[in-house]
Amino acid sequence: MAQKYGLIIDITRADGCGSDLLEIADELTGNLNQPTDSEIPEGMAKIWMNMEEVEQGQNNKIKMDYIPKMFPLADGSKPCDILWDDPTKDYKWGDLEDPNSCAAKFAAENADEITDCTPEGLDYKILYYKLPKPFIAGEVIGADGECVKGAKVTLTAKSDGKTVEQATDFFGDFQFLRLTKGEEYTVQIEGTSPITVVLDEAKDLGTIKLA
Amino acid sequence: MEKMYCNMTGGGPVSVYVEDGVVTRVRPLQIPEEDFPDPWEIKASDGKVYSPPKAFRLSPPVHGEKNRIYSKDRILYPLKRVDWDPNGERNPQNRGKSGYERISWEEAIKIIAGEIKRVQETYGEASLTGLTSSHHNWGVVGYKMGPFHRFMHMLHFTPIYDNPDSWEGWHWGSTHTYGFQWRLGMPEQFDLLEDTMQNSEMIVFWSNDPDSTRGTYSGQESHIWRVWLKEMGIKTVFIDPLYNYTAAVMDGTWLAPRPGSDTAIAMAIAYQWIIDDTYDHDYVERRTLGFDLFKEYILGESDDMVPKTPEWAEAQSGIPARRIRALAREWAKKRTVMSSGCRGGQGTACRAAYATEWARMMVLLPAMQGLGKPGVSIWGTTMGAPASYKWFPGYAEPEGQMGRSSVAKRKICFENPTKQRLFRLDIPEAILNGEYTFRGEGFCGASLDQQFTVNKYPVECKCHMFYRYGGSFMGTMLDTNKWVKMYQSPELECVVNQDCWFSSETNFADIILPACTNFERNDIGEWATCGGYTTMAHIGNNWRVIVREQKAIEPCGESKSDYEIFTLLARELGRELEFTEGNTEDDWARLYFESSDIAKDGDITWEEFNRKGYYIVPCPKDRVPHPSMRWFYEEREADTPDPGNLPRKWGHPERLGTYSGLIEFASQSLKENLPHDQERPIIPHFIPSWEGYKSEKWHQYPLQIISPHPRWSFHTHYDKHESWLDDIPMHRVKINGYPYWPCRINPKDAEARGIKDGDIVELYNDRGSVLCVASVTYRVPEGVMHSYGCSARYDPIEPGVAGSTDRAGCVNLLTASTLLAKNVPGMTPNSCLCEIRKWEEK
Repeated sequence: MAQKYGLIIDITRADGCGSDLLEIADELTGNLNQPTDSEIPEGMAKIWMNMEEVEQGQNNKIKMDYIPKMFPLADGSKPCDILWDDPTKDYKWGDLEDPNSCAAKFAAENADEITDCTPEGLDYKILYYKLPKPFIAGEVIGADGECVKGAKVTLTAKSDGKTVEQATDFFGDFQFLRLTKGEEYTVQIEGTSPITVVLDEAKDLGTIKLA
Repeated sequence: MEKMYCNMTGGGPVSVYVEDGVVTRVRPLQIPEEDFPDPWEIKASDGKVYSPPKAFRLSPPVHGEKNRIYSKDRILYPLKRVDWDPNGERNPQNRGKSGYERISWEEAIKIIAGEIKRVQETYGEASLTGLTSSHHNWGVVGYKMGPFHRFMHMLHFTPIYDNPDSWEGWHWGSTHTYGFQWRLGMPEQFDLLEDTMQNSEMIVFWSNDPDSTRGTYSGQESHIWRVWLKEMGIKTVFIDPLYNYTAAVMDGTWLAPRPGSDTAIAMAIAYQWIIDDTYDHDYVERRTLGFDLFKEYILGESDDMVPKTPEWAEAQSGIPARRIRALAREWAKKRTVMSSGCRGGQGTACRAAYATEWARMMVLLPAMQGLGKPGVSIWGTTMGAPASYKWFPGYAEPEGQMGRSSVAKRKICFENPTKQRLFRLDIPEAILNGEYTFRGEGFCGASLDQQFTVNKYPVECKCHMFYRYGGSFMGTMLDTNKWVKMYQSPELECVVNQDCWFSSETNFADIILPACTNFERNDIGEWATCGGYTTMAHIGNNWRVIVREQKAIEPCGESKSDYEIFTLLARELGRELEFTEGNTEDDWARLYFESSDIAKDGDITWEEFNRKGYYIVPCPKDRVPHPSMRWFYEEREADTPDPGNLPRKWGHPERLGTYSGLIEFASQSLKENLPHDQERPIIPHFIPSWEGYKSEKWHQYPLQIISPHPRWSFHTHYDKHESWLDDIPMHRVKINGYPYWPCRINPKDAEARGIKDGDIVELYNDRGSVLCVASVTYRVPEGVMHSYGCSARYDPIEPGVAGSTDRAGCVNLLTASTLLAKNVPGMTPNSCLCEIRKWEEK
């Protein structure tokens, strides 16, 4: 089914508050609702929308993301305007074939961070911006046992040899975000042996002590 | 045809759409764009100008308000317990087990009025007692402090003091450090959003999850502020046993202390500043008292002779000394905000053993860095937007209460001659033992000295009739199995419960009365404004919204407004006019409106306001910021718009509320009143919890559990009654159709006990047993578990049996009755040890 319209959901702005699920439940049971003694649809989150909490990392190096998941409505109707009527929300809805629509523009400008996750049977596209990706984090400790600020940390990807550099913060912490799952990375901190990681999931390298 | 009504909730203003007498949807208040005044502007340190969007962001569960209005849990008609006969056998031992039969309103009112007369004639007027829950449906006319208090004080009942639950360590501790007793120990928050965006470089969130606690009533309004601060690149650090929701959104550095060790970490930071000589000597000398004594204690030169080094704090907290030291050093270099609770203060850590000492340190640390200097404040990040400061009545101040307000002809609440009081935390002890002694007067907002009074019960007579309004305590008080025992005591001859919904205590009553929600009656209210101990709380919103709360539908079933219920009772007792003064609820609404600055300044007439349904109070264009505590830093008179400021009333506007008028490292009020108190000493001390890491009990129950205020519900509002919340992942998790309450446990602790994510588990100790669903996560460190408090469901496997396993997640059943300290009657749900095992259905 060719979908002309699309909904772009910005995962970096999803805060896991649950408002969206409740707004949709409120909107969609609006015309069916009856006073107290009738049945209110149960399991609304499985019918129209759900939210998945995604936790990555270990120990004290963890991150959370929240993925809103839309399901096709039984009657095939369009999603609720209320979700993107609201200027404080981070949903963009529009005609993806019209290059002037804000949704199409956003999709074009951020093509490498857009993932198409349109479920079967939906008559519009669901595009996620910045779905979670694994990270590598760690803490550098000096020879004296103290946190090291400003230590140079280099990350190299095996597949294309690209490197990224960072300096540790005042806790000695570093983190390389939005890496590629399955890639082999080498982390090199000046004054220590390199650490190699095949990144199946986000990884806390723990404490790395300088000589 | 669909019609729209305006209304207000504890989580923001709403539009209620109704068709054919039925609510079809509830949305954030929908107003034409031209009705928005110009938004305020803040020019920040990054050169950009920030302004709020023209929209209102509600607290999440408010979006499901319709689901709550029509909940299956609504009480629809009066009920009487089948085996309770006011003229025969009362069978108190069956409370919690018995069934109910429907009765008419006429019969219910007759019985209750008859019982009131009987107990008061038999034992004395003071034998009637009762209390409300902490929060209620919004609206000044109908709020719990209005009709309930006016009616009960009219009858000379025994009032019950609430413990200052959200404030404990701050109320009983910080007040002795910097005053603000009129704010129950909370710092003023005025203009701190602007100050932070212009001047601050780092925020330390200590026991604070503002994305979840939301400044209490301001919905999601402040979320955008923290988005801006993150985009501006401000550094954030989160000190919390839980990797909380705000930490996740702001991607801050997370330090996870063992519960009860926060004071030690704070002292180690102070130690590092002293050793490195990186504190503000000038401020300490000019603006504080007693630093030398404090310094001696921190350096280990007095008392326990233990230097409060980061290494020492590591042993208490589990946080590496190097990270405590690094934080201390960076903190001293940067202009840092102490964000130690959602209103500047509060926080889970303040409701624990000896929490006064933690809360005192939360003031003393910023004091060592020049509290009040640009960028250096105590700010929760949920209040402090620019705003108008015109006065509008709030529920928590006398002028917003029909029994105490000048809009009434008689301030009846002040005429009650009954001297005796009960204290909420220990009502069961008082009823079961027949006597009770406690310190303080609940919310001690009038003076520091109030905290030290000693009160004995009874003075006039014991209480035999209990009028419960709401029913939250199984999920919110301490050691809550004792409430089951209390209800079953023959001392209580009659128990009434009045509520909109069946709640955790409802089925312990003899008579149940159905109240209606604010959507089923008219009222009036301003968003977030409670007044009283938190003046100008509307500064937690981006917009100031006053609403004529419009009745959208007829009351469900036979429910009535609380005001009408008390009017019927007053009529039966021959005192209707005394109660109502001839006013309808609409009359009271108009009286409150006319008393406000909005009306007196002619901003909008009652007729226009009544017709339109709302008024947005514009922020003055020529506003002059008065950041909190700047006046104190600069040694001027307090210029913040805090009407409760006591020193200003006393004619000393340049002082804080402490005895000395300065910030006190050595508290003069404690020195004068309780100089030998080892548990709340003159200088703050670190005192290991009586139920914490390595205490006696730890060897049997080695898991520390914290139970903060919940995220997707508010107090016990919305949980249970809004069934849609059962489908929010991590509010509850449905297993075989039953909505279990999550408990977060570290993977190592789970593995050691054979527990997997999604298992039904039993949390247990000597006091209780509760079922939860396990959430195995790194978001809590080893040895610590997290499960929100305030479950509105209480579902004992054996109803009416104290100690029975609760299926629904009232983790408060596990908590101890032991109060914060010997002379500090604060609650301590976060000093709790328990064990956990996989639940095997028997």
